[in-house]
Amino acid sequence: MKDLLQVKDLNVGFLVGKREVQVLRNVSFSIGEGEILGVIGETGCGKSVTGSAVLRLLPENALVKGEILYKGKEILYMEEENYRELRGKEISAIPQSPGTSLNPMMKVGNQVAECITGKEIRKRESVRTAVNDIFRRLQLPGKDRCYGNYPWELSGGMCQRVLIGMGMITHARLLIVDEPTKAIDWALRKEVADILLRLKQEMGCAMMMITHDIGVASYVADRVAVMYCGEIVEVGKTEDILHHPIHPYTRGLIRAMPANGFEVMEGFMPSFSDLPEGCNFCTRCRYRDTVCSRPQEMEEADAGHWVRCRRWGEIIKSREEQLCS
Amino acid sequence: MAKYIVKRLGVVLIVLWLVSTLTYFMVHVTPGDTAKAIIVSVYGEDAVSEETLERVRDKFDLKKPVYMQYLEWLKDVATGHLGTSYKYDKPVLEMLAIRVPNTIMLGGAAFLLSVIIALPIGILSALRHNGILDHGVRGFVLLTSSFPSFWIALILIIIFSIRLKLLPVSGMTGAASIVLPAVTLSVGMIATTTRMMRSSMLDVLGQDYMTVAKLKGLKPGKIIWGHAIRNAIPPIVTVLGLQIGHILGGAVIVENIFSWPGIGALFIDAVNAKDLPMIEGCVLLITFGYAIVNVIVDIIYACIDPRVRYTGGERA
Repeated sequence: MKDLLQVKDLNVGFLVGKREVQVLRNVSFSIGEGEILGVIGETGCGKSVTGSAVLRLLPENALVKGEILYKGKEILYMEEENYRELRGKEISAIPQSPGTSLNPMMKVGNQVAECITGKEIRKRESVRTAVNDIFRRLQLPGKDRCYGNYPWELSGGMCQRVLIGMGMITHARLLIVDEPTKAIDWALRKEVADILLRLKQEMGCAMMMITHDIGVASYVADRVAVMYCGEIVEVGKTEDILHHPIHPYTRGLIRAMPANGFEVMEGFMPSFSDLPEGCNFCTRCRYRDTVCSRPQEMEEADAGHWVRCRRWGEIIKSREEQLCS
Repeated sequence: MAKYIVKRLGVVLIVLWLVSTLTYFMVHVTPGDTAKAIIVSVYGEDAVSEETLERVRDKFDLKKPVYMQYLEWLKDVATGHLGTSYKYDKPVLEMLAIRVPNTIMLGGAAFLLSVIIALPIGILSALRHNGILDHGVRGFVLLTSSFPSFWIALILIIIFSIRLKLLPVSGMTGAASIVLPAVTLSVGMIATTTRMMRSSMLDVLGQDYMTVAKLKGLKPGKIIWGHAIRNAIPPIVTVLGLQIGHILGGAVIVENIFSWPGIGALFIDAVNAKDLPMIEGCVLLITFGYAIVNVIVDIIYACIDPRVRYTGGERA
């Protein structure tokens, strides 16, 4: 599979007063054409910052290092004007919080239409048809019924679908989907997940799906990256991560799922300004050893299954022993 | 909408009645003899005598109990004419009709001036948040909003009329004479409106939908016009409506300093002479102007903000 997006050694820090607080450390991953990468982790682990970095939406006090390549081309440092050409057309996003992401003074149809009229000159009627077509595919009331509504006249789920429509209408090659299921209720979750899957199948759209909903990630994603304290600690095929997790943090996350017994991890994520030496997870880890206080590198435990834990070999062994006994 | 407007106009009537009644009795409890004040203001101190006092009291029915005077005045107002001025011995309505255009001209000039200056500066200073312009604007706002308008008027007169001899000191003599009073009147408004425009714009710029607009790959100009300003303007309309009240109040002071023959000057004159029908006329007019402007503001608001739809009472 050809790599559509490559992120190499991405470091992001924020200037707070005169101090720099490092939020992302050496984040590296890639997304192939038409592939969905789920990025999971708890709130504040740096998932959304990673997404914002790709979209170049980081605030002004952010200090960014590293490389982001889109179709082999550097996009992190390119001219804003050139990047604007990519935005919407090639790289698009579905923002979180549908309640606040739509302009309350503008009809939703026009807000979606704007995505294409800003990029190419098209006849008004054909734009309208395109928007209505997208709405119909997203199972929103079609035939202009939804087009003229204002966002506050629609339900949260409908707004979410309008936002998805914005991401879809330009036929972008890469979608950054930030918490698609955060603001909608349980029943709509599967519906939105299905829409995302259809998007991938019908339009061959690659996605970086940021979520803390492991259920949705496992349903939609081809591969999953697990983030903790601004680092990717484990990345691999979805079934590998879900069924054969190696990193103690990933294992903790999966055990904490309601379906797997709701066993909550001990302790809390440390503050970014006060991280432990070596492995960030070592203070909460029950496999902790002396090697853990040294810097941890990503190591390939299995084909395509990478983990940032020096003790991965022993962890796998102990898991197998548990299974045997 | 029609039902809403009728309802609002009904409220305006009640407000007019309350304000004018309050004024009526307030004037009566202020010390000093009405008849004497009238004579002094028209003929001077020397003309006051038992005989003239008696004549004035007879002429204007000042001997009747206050509540009777009030009821008669109320009847006058209800039938559409506002009585006769004690001092000028002319119908109040006629005198107001001469003065109103002058005040509207002055107020309108000040209002336009403040809008033309305040809106662009407020928007720019929000767009360059914490830039040089923004700091300058903040300093300007703090400074001007703490200057009293009579002080500004005097400084302007010293600079532009006395030193530079560019503009007339006072009176209504040709187009140039409106400049100083209009500028004086608008300074305070410019400060308030700039500050509100800036904060409204900053508020909008921080909204999620602004990020989304950027995500769409829209050109910066389109983002600012189509998304930011469109959302930042409605709160400003309300502020501008309230500013009309500021103009009406400020005009009383500014017109007196610059001898501008408007309602404000007439009002102070009437208060000095205890010219009750005239005072009431001015109060009614100013109150009416303020109330009507606010009804109009609400209607404009409904036109530009789709979230606001007025109905007769029940929510839409």
